[in-house]
Amino acid sequence: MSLLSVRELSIALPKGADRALAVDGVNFEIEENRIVCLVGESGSGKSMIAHAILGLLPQGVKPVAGQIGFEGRDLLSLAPAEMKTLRGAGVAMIFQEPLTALNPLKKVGEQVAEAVRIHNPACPAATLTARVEELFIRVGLSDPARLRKSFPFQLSGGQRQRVMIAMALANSPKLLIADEPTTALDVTTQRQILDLIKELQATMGMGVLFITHDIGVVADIADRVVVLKGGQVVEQGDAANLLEAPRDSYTQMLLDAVPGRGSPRSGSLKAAPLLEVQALNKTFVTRQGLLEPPRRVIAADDVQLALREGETLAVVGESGSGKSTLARMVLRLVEPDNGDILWRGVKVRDMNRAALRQYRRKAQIVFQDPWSSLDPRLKIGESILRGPVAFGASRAEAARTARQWLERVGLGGQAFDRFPHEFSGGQRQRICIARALALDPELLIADEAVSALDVSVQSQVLELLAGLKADMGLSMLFITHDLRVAREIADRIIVMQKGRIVEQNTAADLFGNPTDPYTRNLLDAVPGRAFFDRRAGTPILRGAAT
Amino acid sequence: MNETLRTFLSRPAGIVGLTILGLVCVVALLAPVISPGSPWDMAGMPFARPGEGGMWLGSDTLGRDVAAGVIHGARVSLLIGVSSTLAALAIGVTMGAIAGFSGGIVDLIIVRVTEVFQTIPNFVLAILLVAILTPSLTTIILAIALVSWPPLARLTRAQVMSVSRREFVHAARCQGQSAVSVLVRHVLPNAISPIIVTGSLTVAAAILIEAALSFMGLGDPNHMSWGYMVGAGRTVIRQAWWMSVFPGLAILITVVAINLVGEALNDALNPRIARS
Repeated sequence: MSLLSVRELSIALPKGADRALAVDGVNFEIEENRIVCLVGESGSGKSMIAHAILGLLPQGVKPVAGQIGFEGRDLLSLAPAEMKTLRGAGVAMIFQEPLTALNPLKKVGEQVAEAVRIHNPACPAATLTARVEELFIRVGLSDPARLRKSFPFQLSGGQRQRVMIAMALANSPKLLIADEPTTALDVTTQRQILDLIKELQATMGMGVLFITHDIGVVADIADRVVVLKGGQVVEQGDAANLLEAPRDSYTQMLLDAVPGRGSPRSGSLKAAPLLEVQALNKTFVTRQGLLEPPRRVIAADDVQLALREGETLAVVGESGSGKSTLARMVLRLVEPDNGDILWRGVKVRDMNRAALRQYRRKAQIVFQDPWSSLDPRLKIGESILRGPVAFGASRAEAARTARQWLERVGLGGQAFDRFPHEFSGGQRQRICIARALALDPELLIADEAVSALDVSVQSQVLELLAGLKADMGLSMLFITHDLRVAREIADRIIVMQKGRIVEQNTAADLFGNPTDPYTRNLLDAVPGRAFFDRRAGTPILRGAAT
Repeated sequence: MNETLRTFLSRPAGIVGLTILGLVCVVALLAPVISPGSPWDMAGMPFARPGEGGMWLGSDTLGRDVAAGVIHGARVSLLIGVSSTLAALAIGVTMGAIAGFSGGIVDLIIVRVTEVFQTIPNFVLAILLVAILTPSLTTIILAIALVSWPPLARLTRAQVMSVSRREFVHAARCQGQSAVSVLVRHVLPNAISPIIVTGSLTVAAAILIEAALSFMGLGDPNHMSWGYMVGAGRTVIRQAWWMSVFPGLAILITVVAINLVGEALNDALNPRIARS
């Protein structure tokens, strides 16, 4: 008998949503001791299913048909009190963002202890502490005695996710629901967490429902795959069969959208350098308290790079590597401590206000978060045309330019009079690109510009950028944490770690023959690498391991 | 904006508050029509009980009609409440926006100045200012504005600082827009909602300060006000309760109405509450 069976599940959205049913007649089963991956783009209803299992659907969203069977009971018709005893004991859940899922004002050990105590109120304090430390060791947190007394903000993203997992395991659940648990993490941390979930699942014999949009992750951990699109299952089956020979075109599209499978660009340009960064240093100092020494974070440590005209240079690194600070320092949104930035040989740091304005016109930036990089109170057209107007174009002229760019990025002129909230993340990113290009720049800085997007949308935006670059002869500084994306678009790649450049090479050489151990680590951590290598027939993301 | 209005109207508090406030405004506007003549004139016997001699709220120690006083007092209270709040907003938002947007030494100086104002008890400072400047509508408005701006400045500063960090503000700077244009056209419109809410509550506070000043005899001697009536009736409150109770009720109702409107505004302007 299967552990969890979802039968003909339909979940209705409130009136006025983009569709009537968030989830429409979904069937799937989770066997004991198996990992089932629910994969789909954002808006496919995958999180809704997870929340429905635990009775955590948001207000106004209701299951309207079907059953969710777990241990012979229908979870949809369970009384609230019964559901409470089930949550955390029979079924546990881990979330995408471990920082917001933990109470910031409570020590993590207490939070895990609380999870134990809720389902076992009589547990004596000493046993409780021992249990918490045992759980910490189990999820790979070394030094549990010290970490137990830490607050969430003192831990790294990976450690916080481990704490979340410890909390979920507190009562040895039979089913673990993981809702995009690695999406907010760095590649190497993601690799560790995936390995941990897989190992725990095997040793504890749990069923796991793993929700993700990244088919690379699916290839790494799934036993069974359910592909969702617009609330409906388009295909499901054993992971091996389904991924090797997808029957549905949508699954095929998801597989094809995974970046970094083409051959990397090779050959270096001999054009004049457009932008040079010389011996750049930046240290952030935050005071922590009266007695404690201030915390110093090195964001740039003697950074040296050159970007030639027409070249795309990718800067790759994990969070905290200083790659975003580098982008902001290039535009002087953050002032470096020392060092020089040269734009066509002119020192950017010595520019006066007028010169800096002209420089920023030539070097435009597209930011990471499509939700916060557009003014929510301005119509799209207005947001775009303010740039040209600030440089002396008439409003009518600027509006014409704005419409042209909206057409060019594939949104059409009717987007001009609409507000940002009417657009999806991918569309917003297109708008941001239009806004940057409306000023006719020579350099485009993309600061994690595709990181917040679904894989399929990501590939569309990357395509757009590559097309625009070819048409306009743009140079690009492309900041990303994802080696696959860098491989897709870059001529040359710089790998940064803790503010230092550890490796700098042409894309072909870097992937073919990485010299630095950190680069090799990053390459090894790419999700689904083994699968895609096998699928391509030749090892494409080659690292030192092959 | 439509969404905002709908949320506002879906709150009973908002509707009740707005209705009462609307009534008070109508009374204030139509005071010369509803109750012609000066409220300072004798209208009948002193100490007339409510209903006696055609005066439905009674008369005060000098035979002036309490109802006429309450009606005319609404004009002064609302005028002072609204104009002193506008003045306080002008000072507070400007100071706060400059401090939050420029940061550094400018921020430090403005914050220190704000703190100096906040350490002096509001009401004591207001009394002092009115006493020095001689009581009149203008000086009272000025005094109330000067004691009410610091909280608005601090709120604006915090809002501006948090909005400035968002990426669309960086994007606007990179587009080549001037600092003033970025502040006025991008930062402030996105920071203004909680300031409007606090502003509406400041109106209520201003009405109370005015009433307290008039109670202490520091009101404008040419204008009948609720605070003055409460103050004048206070000595005989045990013999003639109506002289201070009715103007007191008027203050209470108006302030409560403004607070209700403020609360509904808060819900309506907060996108997270408005959406649910």
